[in-house]
Amino acid sequence: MEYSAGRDAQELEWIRDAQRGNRDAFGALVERHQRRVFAVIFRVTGDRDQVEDLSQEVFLKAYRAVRSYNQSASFGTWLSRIAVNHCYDYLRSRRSTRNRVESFDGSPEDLESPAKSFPASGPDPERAALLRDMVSKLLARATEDDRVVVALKELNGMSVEEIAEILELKVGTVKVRLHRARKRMLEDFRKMQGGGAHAV
Amino acid sequence: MRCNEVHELIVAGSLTALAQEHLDACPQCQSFARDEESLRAGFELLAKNEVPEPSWGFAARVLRGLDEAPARMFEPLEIIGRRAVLAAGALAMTVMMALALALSSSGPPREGRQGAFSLTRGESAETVEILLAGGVDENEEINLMPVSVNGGDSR
Repeated sequence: MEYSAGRDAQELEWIRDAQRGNRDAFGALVERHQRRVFAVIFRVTGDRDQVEDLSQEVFLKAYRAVRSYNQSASFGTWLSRIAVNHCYDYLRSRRSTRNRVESFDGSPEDLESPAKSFPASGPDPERAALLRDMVSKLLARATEDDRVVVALKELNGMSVEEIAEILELKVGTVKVRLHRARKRMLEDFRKMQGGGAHAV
Repeated sequence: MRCNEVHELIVAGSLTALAQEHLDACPQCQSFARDEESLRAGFELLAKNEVPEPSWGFAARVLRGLDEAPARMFEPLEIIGRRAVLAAGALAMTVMMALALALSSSGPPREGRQGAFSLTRGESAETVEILLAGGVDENEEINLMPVSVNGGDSR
């Protein structure tokens, strides 16, 4: 995210004040970055009902850690990193409390979705809703690592470079992870269709 | 070119001329490509879901939460502290009991005192104090069972 010089200077001042314990300055930082944190959490968890609570927890963590912020990344990236780590914790705890979401094995009513005939953005809203639901379930079935990287890229529209900075990985590593995650999800997607054309 | 290689290129979204040639002639790879297209379309549809907006006063609630945060941060320490106190208490009780037993068995025999009570771990400190003080009538029955919630025996 690019800031103007004035915006940068103002934010730096808030950060320094927050590091000295000034809560109002931290409040200004919350106001500025809340939408970004909401977006990361919503895209990664897909849990609309939990977004606000999780975001609040992220900002509490950020406040406790704000003294350790050393400007090696932008404040927004640093916050996104905390948010993603918090999402990891949340997804793990959610997974441990319920089975690996809706298994498509042996549930044919969930399988009646001939993706081959799905139009990319066709006029059939019913089919579009079905496809959206299937992909949502695919994400829920994916591992946390796959989910995070795909959600940040495909749903939150982040660049590979931004994701690399947030996850503290090399750009090449993110590209590989993304490719593998997409491939696994595509394989899962084809299985969900009841065999479609299995990968050769 | 093999199907697997073509699949990799399809997922990467970078088909070469050679891969395109294979794709044009291979129904299985065409099916794979259609599924890949559907998956991409699904991501696009999902990305259109609007991100929830922070409710009014969200930042203020975060700041209010900061006041509660220190208490929550120290909660684990408090739990550890409480456990340490309980453990120390139990240890002290055990030592006192051991001392009491050792002293009573090593001293001059006292009629009717030895073996009058058999203490087990977990008995209340109050009971131990009473026993050590020797202020209990030997004929008096001591109820070491915990009192039930409903007031115990209704007899």
